Amino acid sequence: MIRLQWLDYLATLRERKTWLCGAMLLYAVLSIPVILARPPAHVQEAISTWFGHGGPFVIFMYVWIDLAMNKIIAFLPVVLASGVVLRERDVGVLSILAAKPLSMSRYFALRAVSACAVMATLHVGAQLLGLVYFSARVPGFEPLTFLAAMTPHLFAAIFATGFSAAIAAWVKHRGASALLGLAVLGLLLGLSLVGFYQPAWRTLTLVNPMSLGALALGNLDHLGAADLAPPTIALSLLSITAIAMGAAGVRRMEA
Amino acid sequence: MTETASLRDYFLLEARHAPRRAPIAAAILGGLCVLGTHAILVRFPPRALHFLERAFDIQGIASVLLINDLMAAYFAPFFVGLAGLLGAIVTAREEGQLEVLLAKPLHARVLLAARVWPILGAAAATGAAVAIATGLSILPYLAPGDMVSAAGALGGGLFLTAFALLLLAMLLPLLVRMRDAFHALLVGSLVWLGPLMPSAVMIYRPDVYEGRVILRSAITMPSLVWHDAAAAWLGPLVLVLVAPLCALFVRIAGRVLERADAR
Repeated sequence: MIRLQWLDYLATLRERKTWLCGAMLLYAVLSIPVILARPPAHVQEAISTWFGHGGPFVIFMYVWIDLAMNKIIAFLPVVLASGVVLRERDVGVLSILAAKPLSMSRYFALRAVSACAVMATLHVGAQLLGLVYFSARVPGFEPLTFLAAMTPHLFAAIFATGFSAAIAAWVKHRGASALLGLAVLGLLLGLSLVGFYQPAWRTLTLVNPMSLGALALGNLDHLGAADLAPPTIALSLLSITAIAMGAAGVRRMEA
Repeated sequence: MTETASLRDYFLLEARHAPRRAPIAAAILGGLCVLGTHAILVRFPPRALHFLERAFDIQGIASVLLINDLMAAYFAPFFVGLAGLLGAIVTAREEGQLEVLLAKPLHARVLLAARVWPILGAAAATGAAVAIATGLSILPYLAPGDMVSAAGALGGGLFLTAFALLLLAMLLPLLVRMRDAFHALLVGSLVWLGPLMPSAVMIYRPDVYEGRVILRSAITMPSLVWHDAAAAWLGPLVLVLVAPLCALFVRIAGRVLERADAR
């Protein structure tokens, strides 16, 4: 099973759309320092009100999460995961797979985990590339804080992928599942930073998994394990739940 | 059976099989999103609203709401249309249906036109519904002498709907060559995101547009809010004018498909 998982991961990684996703991330890494070269006064002012302090590094982290990575995890997970199992059904190979000694639920879990792993690979790759490039280009860049703050976000990306796969398993129609995934992830990400803009809603926004991924923005100056572990653990559990629910959804799917 | 069915019957048949649930759901969801963002944004602290006013060079709560609503009028028609086109072309090819259909005595460009037009029409209707919802829901927030109006909001929504349709039509020649629906979805998403970049640049790098007022008005989305009176008539006009442009791209895509199907 582990060998099959590894091969499926490699096959997904080699797909053309994965390469295009990689190109999109590369573009984000290269363009953000240009966008941030001369932040106007009102941006600095607003960011210091929302996040307590407004140094160049905080502005950078805000733009990197809000403008780049949050937009990316609204689209990439849907592209990577909202066709798992459905595509095999639609092109007529599911009946062949159904004849193999592998239940439909396990097959779904295998494909969903591969999609999550590819998303994680792309996410980590972008952060590592960013680490090198931003160190040279962004004034006041703090490599360790950057990696720490992006850890919960990585798990938010993994959750978004598992969630897209679960939508596919229950909606059972590729077009509809992609649309629904885009709409729901778009809404959740659009609302993910609302707790910073309106502090009265901070606690309420914690029910939004995508807010958990960006939680580190609030305490960049003293990030510790106590800030990072709860959202990371919560998002891991949510990812496992999403994949399990998807696996339950495909149980009675006809080949 | 005395005669073969006419092309008109074929067009009607394809129109009857065009997806209906997704455009209706998207129109309703888009309208609800507009109302939802209004409910959330008016409860923001004044400083956050002031930031949006400064960032987009606008004034008044109605214009702040409108900037957000316009995104819905851009998102809903594009993605409803894209999902429809993927289903009608790319998925059909993936599943081997397109080749079967193209083997019938039917020109590829006729098949394409019959399948694409109902989808573009449904996308236009979705966008128009969201634009109407925007125009109506902004009424209670308008102040005397406001820089925006209900007619301008409606026009802005229609303008972005027309723009979304144009992007979809321009994607068609690419879509007829693609064989993976999710690769096509990613390409479509990038095409949708691209035109938003100048507006994002405006928030963080307003200096780029210094001394380039015309450029700024031409390529950023808040321009529709600044030129409210123009948006009111330009939006409906552009929505009408986009139809022949779409027809052109449908024809080009038909040509591409005719050449590409010989395999």
